[in-house]
Amino acid sequence: MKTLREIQQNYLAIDFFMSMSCNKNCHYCTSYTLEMRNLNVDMDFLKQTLDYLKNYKIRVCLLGGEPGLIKNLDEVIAEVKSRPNHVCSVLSNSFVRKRYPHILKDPDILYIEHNILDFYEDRIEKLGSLDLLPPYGFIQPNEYNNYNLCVKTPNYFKYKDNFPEELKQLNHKNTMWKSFNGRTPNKDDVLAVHTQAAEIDRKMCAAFPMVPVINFETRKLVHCSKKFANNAIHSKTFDVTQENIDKMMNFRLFKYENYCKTCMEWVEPKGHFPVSKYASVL
Amino acid sequence: MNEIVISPSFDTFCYFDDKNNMIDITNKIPFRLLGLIKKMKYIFGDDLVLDKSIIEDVEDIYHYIIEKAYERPDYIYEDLNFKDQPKQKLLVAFNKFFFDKFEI
Repeated sequence: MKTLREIQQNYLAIDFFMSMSCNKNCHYCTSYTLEMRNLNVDMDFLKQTLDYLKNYKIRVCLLGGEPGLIKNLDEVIAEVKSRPNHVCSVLSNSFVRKRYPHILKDPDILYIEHNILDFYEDRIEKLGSLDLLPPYGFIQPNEYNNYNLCVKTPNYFKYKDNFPEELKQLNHKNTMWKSFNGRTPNKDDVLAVHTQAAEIDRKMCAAFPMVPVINFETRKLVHCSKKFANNAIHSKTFDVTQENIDKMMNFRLFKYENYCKTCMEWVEPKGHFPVSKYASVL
Repeated sequence: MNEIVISPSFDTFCYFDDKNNMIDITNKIPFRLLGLIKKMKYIFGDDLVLDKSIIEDVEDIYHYIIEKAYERPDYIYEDLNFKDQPKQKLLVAFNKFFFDKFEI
């Protein structure tokens, strides 16, 4: 089992958007449709893509859409896990916990549950997940590589002090917090939480984003997962070929695009990746 | 001026003029650039050179790493083990950055 820290330090992540279908319609999300479609992953396309990536240390992030809706998810995971250079990661709104609970018992699969918590003065609402109550409450401390991923929304800062018990449940090693994103329709929401990242950080992000995407529906390589289906401006795309994968992995494919100039996504001021990660992956 | 000679202690910088006189230019290098040079020790160690003639095209990411190190004092603060080829490309990017900012 590799630890989260080892994975974050030594692997570049690529999102595999297997299907855009989701059972939720969270307002922050860039890449979903309520239409149920493409719920069987084409294993030939998957194998070919993994073959192109076989020489690179990759964290394969299975999502979409909601990965729990994928009918052959076990087969997909087995294929990713069979590749020695790859780590398998699943990002779910918790539906995976209901349909594929064994995934949470496999420490070689990094399971991350995306908890978008909408804080109000008198309550917390959990978007994109089943509910706050057992057995589907927050991920508890564990040694199985299962994590909560919570977003610090503007109302989090406004009302968090009203909910000490709930926040206590999240205050452990298996919870990750991330900053609110720039995908909200209301730019003021973002500005309430953070300002635009420095240009040098947006340039570094452009060279290799936190997560470029393989879109299984269009069979394209997508530069930026944040400029996806439900955005006004879409990301640049490329054919999934060995040449493009090699260029991407050697930081020669992606450029600083116009949409990077206006991007409001949060980038850690200390750097998009720590410089030690560049030493590891370049 | 293509090459600047750096003293082993990184506190003196000179170049040779047309008559082979060694000219000390330490005081002419901006303070922030001196700080960047000192940080480059963490990547290049004794292999650090300031030589305009090595500049060639390298991928943008190498330029970005150098620019980030210049912008943020705490970006590079400990020894880093880049592989040989990326290290050479970083050296190129560093020299490009330096000679863009500093001209005698």
